[in-house]
Amino acid sequence: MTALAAEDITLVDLVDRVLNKGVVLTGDVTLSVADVDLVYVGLRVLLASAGTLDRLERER
Amino acid sequence: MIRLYAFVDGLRRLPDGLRVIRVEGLDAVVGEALNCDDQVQAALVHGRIIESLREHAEAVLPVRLGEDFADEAAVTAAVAPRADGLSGRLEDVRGCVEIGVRVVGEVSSSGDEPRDGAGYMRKRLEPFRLRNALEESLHAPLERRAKAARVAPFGAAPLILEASYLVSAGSVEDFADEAVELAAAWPRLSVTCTGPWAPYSFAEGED
Repeated sequence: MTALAAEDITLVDLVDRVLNKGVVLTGDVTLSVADVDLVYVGLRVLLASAGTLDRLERER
Repeated sequence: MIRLYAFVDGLRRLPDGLRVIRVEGLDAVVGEALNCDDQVQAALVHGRIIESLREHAEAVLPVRLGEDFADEAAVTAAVAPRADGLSGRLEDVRGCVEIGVRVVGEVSSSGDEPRDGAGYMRKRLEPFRLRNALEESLHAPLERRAKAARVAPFGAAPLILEASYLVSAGSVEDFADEAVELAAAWPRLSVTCTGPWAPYSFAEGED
């Protein structure tokens, strides 16, 4: 996995946690970033990484 | 506006620009709410502040981004009714961090269309069989190593398993080693392990 892909995954994981987890007091927090979009972006990154790994394995 | 970032205990160093409000024995870390149009950027700032608190505190309970209040009195009024419960939860996560595990991949072993009803049913069941197998062979051993675990409900492929584990800060490397070892049994899937994070997933009770 390239360093960039690992960074992207970390970014998605962090943003997912900050927006969707943690203590909620007021309960009426609305954020404009759709978590669906974030997860989708994350999955594309992960799938790309898996593909890259496969290619590297084959080329070895 | 004042933004609430986290509840902490044993904080050795307060990051610049933040202050602590004490509510019924509970330390709430607050700062000025930054106006930021880019929500991803806002999330990164929030996350960086919480990770900085995690590095300098014995216990930290992260607050979700967006808990903004008009003044300190409003923070106190919102926190006071839950102070007891939050103090207990802060105690539960003392000395611990969160590790995230995601498993992504193609569910179907073959691209062939099913030829009959039984074949169709088998294909429909494949994601559930894979999920169950992962829960037994990957999640269960990791859960035994952790103080607590949370598993996201099964959504849509290609995300097959998403789980968070509460792990004592001193055993993160052992935990990650075991995750890598267990993941090796699933060469067709992409297993990623991220962290250590502040215990975001353990800040509230289970749904």
